[in-house]
Order: sequence, then C-alpha cells, then structure tokens
Amino acid sequence: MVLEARGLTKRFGGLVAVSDVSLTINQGEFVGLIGPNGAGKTTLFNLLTGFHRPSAGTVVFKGEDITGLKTSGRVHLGLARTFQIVQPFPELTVSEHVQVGLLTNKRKKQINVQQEIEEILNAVGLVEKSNDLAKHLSLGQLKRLEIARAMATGPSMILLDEPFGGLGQHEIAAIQELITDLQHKGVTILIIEHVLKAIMNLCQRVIVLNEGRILAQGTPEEIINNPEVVGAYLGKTDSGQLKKVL
Amino acid sequence: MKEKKLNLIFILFWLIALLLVPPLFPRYLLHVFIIAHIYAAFALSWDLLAGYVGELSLGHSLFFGLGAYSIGYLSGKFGVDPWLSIGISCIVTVVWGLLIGLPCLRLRGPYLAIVTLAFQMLFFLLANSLYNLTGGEEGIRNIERVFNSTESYYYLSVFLVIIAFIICYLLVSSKYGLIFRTIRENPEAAEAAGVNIVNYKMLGYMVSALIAGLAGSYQALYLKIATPDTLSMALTFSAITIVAIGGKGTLVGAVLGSYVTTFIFDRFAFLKDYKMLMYSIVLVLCVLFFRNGLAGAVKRVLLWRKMGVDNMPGGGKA
Amino acid sequence: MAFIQLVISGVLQGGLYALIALGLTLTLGVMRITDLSYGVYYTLGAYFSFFFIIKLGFNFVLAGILSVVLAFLIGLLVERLLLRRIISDELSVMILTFAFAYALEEIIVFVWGSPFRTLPPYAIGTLNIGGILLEKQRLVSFAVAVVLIVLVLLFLKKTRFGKALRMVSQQQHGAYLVGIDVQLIQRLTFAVGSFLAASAAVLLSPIYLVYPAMGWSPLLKAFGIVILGGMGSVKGTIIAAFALALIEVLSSYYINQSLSQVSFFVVLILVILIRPSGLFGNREGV
Repeated sequence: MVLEARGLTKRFGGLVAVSDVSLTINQGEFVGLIGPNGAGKTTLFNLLTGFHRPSAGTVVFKGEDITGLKTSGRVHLGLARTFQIVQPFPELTVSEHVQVGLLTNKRKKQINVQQEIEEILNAVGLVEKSNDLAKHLSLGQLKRLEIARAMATGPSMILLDEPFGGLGQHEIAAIQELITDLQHKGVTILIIEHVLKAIMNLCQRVIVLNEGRILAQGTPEEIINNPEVVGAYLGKTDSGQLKKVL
Repeated sequence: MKEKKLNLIFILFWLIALLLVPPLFPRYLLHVFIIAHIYAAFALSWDLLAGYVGELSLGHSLFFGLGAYSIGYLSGKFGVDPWLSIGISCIVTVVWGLLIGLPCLRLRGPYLAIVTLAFQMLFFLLANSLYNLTGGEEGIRNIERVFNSTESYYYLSVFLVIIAFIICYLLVSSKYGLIFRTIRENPEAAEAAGVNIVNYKMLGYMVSALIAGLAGSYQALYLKIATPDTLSMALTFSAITIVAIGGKGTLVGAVLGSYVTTFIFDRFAFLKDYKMLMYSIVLVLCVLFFRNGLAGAVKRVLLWRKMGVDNMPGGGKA
Repeated sequence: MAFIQLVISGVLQGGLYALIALGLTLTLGVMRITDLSYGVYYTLGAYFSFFFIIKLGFNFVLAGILSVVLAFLIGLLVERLLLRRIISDELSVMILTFAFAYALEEIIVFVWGSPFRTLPPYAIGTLNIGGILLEKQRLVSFAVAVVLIVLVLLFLKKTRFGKALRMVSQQQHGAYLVGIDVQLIQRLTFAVGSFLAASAAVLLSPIYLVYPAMGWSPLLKAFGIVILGGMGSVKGTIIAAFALALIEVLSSYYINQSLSQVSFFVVLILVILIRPSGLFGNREGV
C-alpha cells in the first residue's frame, strides 16, 4: 500500500465537496478516478496533495501520516501531481521546468543535471523545445510538460488530473504511451478522467466519485455495468452523452 | 549563456568607470554619485523581491529607515563604534524582516504589500511624533564621522553598490534564481514541483531587507543624520520608479535607473520640487507602455539576433 | 457611563468604516485585483467638497452629490483607461494603482497646495441624552452612511445588476458563460466603489482635516477590515468594520491616545497570523 486516505472530508462553507472518502492505492497500481462534473475529483486530489487541508480525515503515504504536510513536502516524499488546467511558468523555458523538479528532488544526488533533463524531455517528446518559453507551447505540449515536471521530482506516485482533457486523438495516444511507460517504471498512478474510454485499457481499478462520496469501485468492466454508476451519470448528462462518456 | 557574459562585462566596465570618476571629475560630482549609489542599492533590493520573487514590498523604506535609525541610535546616541553599528543595524533590519515576512509570506495574496505599507506608515508616524525617542522631524544627529574625505565615502559607496549588485546577481543566477522565478510565475505550480515557496520567499525577503538596511545605514553614515525621510513613502516610491524606468527583474535596470534619475535631478535642479509628481506620472506611463524599461530596450538591441530566433512562437524548430 | 459613551462613539465610527470598506470589498470580489488607489477616491471626495463648498459657495447637499458623482465618473474612466489594459497582471495592477494614488496626491498638492483644510460642519451642536454626549455632525454622518449601506445591500439583493455582480464575484467564468457582460459589471463595480469611498469622505470631511495624503489611512484600514471580514464577504466586512472601530475607540481611551493607530495594526497582524481567512470568511490561504 502506497497511499491511503481515511475519512477525508472537505467543506467549503456550507458546501461539502468531499465527504468521508476512504481509499487505498497499492504499490505499482494504475487506478482511475471518475465521476460526473462537480463530483469532487479535483478537490480530492487537492486533499491528497496538500493543496487543501481536509476538514476531517487523514492521508497516509508510504506509511507516514502526511495530513499536515505541505504540498512541497509531499513532493519530496515522492508524491507528484499534474493539473487539470495546465499550470506552466510562462516566462521559463521548457528545460527550466524540468530543472526545478530536479533541484527540489532531495532524495537523489544530481550527477548530471543536463543529461537528466534531456532524458526526461526525450521521454515526453519535448527535446527540440527545450529552450522555448512555455508561453509559446501548444496545449498538447503543455500537457506533456506538466508530466515532465512531475517526473523530474522523482515520484513514486503520480496523480494525473485529466491529462487528456481538450486534446485530439493523436495527442491522447502519445500521452497514453507516456503514462504506460511510467507505469512500467514502477510508478504508481492515480488518474482523473472524465472520458472513461481513454483509460479503459490502462486502469486496473476504477473508483467512482459522486457528490463527494465513493459510489463504487472495481475493474473497468464492473464499473461500466454498475447500474448505480450509470444512474449517477444519467443524473448529470443526457443518455446520448452517457454513451460517449462510458 | 550570452546574457551571463553581458552581465559580467557590465560589472567590469562599471567598476572601472567608477574608479576613474574621482581623478577625472570635480569633487562635487562625487556627492551625486554617492546618492545615486545609495538609491541603486536600495532599488536593487526592491527589484530582487518584485522582479524575481514576485512579491511587492510597498513599504520598503521601512528597512532603509530601520538601517538609518539603528546606526543613528547606536552611534549618534550611545557612541557605539560606527562600523559595529552598521553590523548591528543589519541584524535589526533582518529581524524586522522576519517578523513581518513570517506571517505575511505564508499567504497567497497582497498581504505582504499591505502589511509592509502599514508598518512603514506607522513607523514614519512614530518617527515624526515621538520626539523624545526619535528627535521628531529633526531626526538623530551626531553619527560619528568615519572618513575625512569625500573620496573615501565615495569608494565606500562603490563598494556598497557593487557588493549589493553581486549578492543579488549571484542569487538570481544560481538555482535560487530559478526557484524565485517559478514562484513569481506560478506559485501553485512551483509548490507542486517541490518548491517550498514560503521558505524561498522568506530567503528573498531577508536578503532584500538586509540590502535595504545596508543602504539606509550607509546613507546615515554618510550624511551623519537619520531623519524621518528615510522611512517615507516617497523613498519607496522613488525606488519603484527607478526600477520601472531601468527595467524590472533585470538588476542592471535598478542601477541604470538610479544613475539616470539622480543625474537628471542634479542637472535640472529646478525640477526638484516636482520630483514626486514626475516620478508618479512616469511610473504610471512605464507600467502601461514601457514594461521592460531601459535594460529591456538595451537588451533587445544587444541580443537582437538571438532573441529573433529563440523567442518566436514555434521558433528554433527545423 | 464612560464605557457607554465610548461604545456609542465606536458604533458611529464603525458605520463610516463599513461604508469605506464596503466599496473595497465589492471591487476586490468582482475584479480580483488589489486596488491601492482606493484611497484616492476618498481624498477626491473630500477635495471636491472643499472646492464646491469653499471655493464655489455651493450648499453642502449639492456639493456632496456633485462630489460623489464626479468620483463615480472618474472611477469609470480609470477602470477603462488604466486598469483594463493590465487587469490580468497582478503585480502591474498593484504598482499602477499605487503610482496613480501617488500621482493624484501630488496633483492635488500642485492644484490646491498642501496645507490642511477644514470644512464647516453641516450640523452644529451636541445632543445630551441622559449624560451621553452626541455630536450632531457625527450622528448625521452615521445616519447617511447607514442609509447608503442599506441601499447598497438592497441593490445587491434585489436588482438585476446586483445579482449579476454577486455572480461575477462568486463564479467569474460561470457568469461569463451565462451571458453576463463581466467587463461591464467590473467597470460599474469599480465606479460604485469610488462612489462609496467619496461619499464616506463627504460625510467625514467636516469632522477630520482635509489634506493631500489623507487617503492612505482609510485605504489601509479598509484593507484591514476586508481581511478581517474574510476577503469578499459583505456581511463579514460590515461586522469587522464595527469591531475595528470599537477596538480603536476603546484602546485609545483605556490605553493611550496615540496608540489607537498601533492597536489597529496589532489587530491586523494578529488576524493575519491566527486566522488569515478572516473572522467570517472561508476562503483559505495556500
């Protein structure tokens, strides 16, 4: 077990965004987190990565209670994330994005920073762009840069927030490949995706969040055939859209 | 890196030029240079914070004034050795920086700007009104003279401004500089990349406060007096304008800006009464139309070819 | 008895603090910017009154109305000509508004000089109710301030513009998606903020001195109140305004006159230290 959440709850004023969520993720596992809009997926990510303090509950990472730890502290332990809406440093070059991650990586001695930057940029296919400013990249490139920056911190687990959002088929395939590579390197992955189809073949397990609670979890096949899950999506979208989603 | 080379060449030429000033120019100009160097060091400290870390210290003269009043008290009132006084006043400013920075820099938002402004105004008020403690508008006099010649004060000011520049330059061109810029560009993303943003912001703030304090205590040492002016909003405002004219986030800009403004106001003395009016209007115009300042303009000319390729959207691609 | 007297003075002061801070809260919530020129409209309100009453000899009602209308129009212009260009760049907005505030202060020195000015009160005398003394001028100012605050609150609750404003404040992108002209709302909100700051100045200028740098203190107090009230919460802002006014009045009486300024800053720092989300807010600091 790498990551464990116990009774995580987050209230914003009167609104309960995440309510009593408990989950465990095992070493090397590839888990999908799905749910209709406003189900609390990103809020849950923010709780796991320390962007929000939970109103109740605890987060345990590699056996250590990290509930009170800041985001950067969690990153140093090996828990990285990407953002749904890309968060680049507009005036920094692509290679600087990776360099920051390497600099803050305290568990590893840096022998050859340039070489490591190149390796990571190679993996995400941004080598030719290494001296470009982030503000000049396309959305697809920025999405890959997000992953590169997370990889640079040397994570044992990555939380990916809709890495395919807004991309075309071609770019989705490239990122799918990238993520699969990561998994093969032994990185544990928790991925939020609105479009289940995109992660069907990747995920070993899917967790469904609805109205801040865990509605169901199981293999992708089990989830698709779960009437409660279908109902949850039906409540939010029309049936035509549902077919597209599931 | 071509930019690095440019900066080194700049420092070298600058230093040589400064050493040639005393033999070549009239004595009276030394005073103008000294004032320009004080402003330059102070503006550098502001630029380090605003241009690299991305935090505004709108009451930055607080640190300048703390430096000045510390040496004023120690040397002027209690007769402590002036050199030792400078050392102690640096500690005083850094401690105040800690006290203000710790609560404010934990938060995302304009807290630092508001709180430093509040403290600066409070201290300005106290310096003016607590006559027994601060000498009121008269300030604290009798700071011990350390040199007999203006030349010596001049060389010390050269030392001060070069040291301030080198500290800032080494900081921003090291890994800390990269980390500072990530915080400026996107604090959330920096945190997610493993940057403990509070710690690094504190680091930047401490260094900035230290340099501002040094500039303040040097001014008090040179003028042998610490007055409420050293705590005034006008002083902060001058630094901001100097940095805006010279170019924010370049360091060189702070130096260029302070030479340009100091010499303009020296040359055209009749403008002195309208200094702050002109500064404020120039600052508004700079923010709107001259974002990169003089340094930006110079850099664009010097790096023309390189910039042309690298910074084009999709540039550098075969 | 002294205590009751103090509490009443605190409440009277609080009403005006609330009026000043209300405008800043609205601007902050709707525009998401740190407007450091907010105090300018306070200064302008006072100087316009001074100009209309002393220089032109208008009566105070006409002078007051003209002053706040002018402040409203200037707010519109500033938003359109200065802020709109750089509104997405947080640091530039702060530097620009700071510079603008300073520029106006210097322009006022240039036009009207720097000496302190006073305006005649429009209600003279003191009421004595069971031993408690009430200056009529302060009562009138307080009453007008309360009426204005209530009008703003009703306006936010009942009118279409008010609803749109609240929507922009809560969910800017959502507001944009449902077809609200976000820019227009922002511009008008900014102008309303200017109007409120100026009206506070019109009400307070017969009580306090009028001078070019008079806007900074209300600016800082308004920010303190808004932080204390939870950044963008209208209810929180109003409660915080009264709380701060009371603290100021009580501390200046029981501790030291000159420390009333200090007590304000102490409260501000304590709030930032202990509860950065403010006493009534739920937005959290990162």
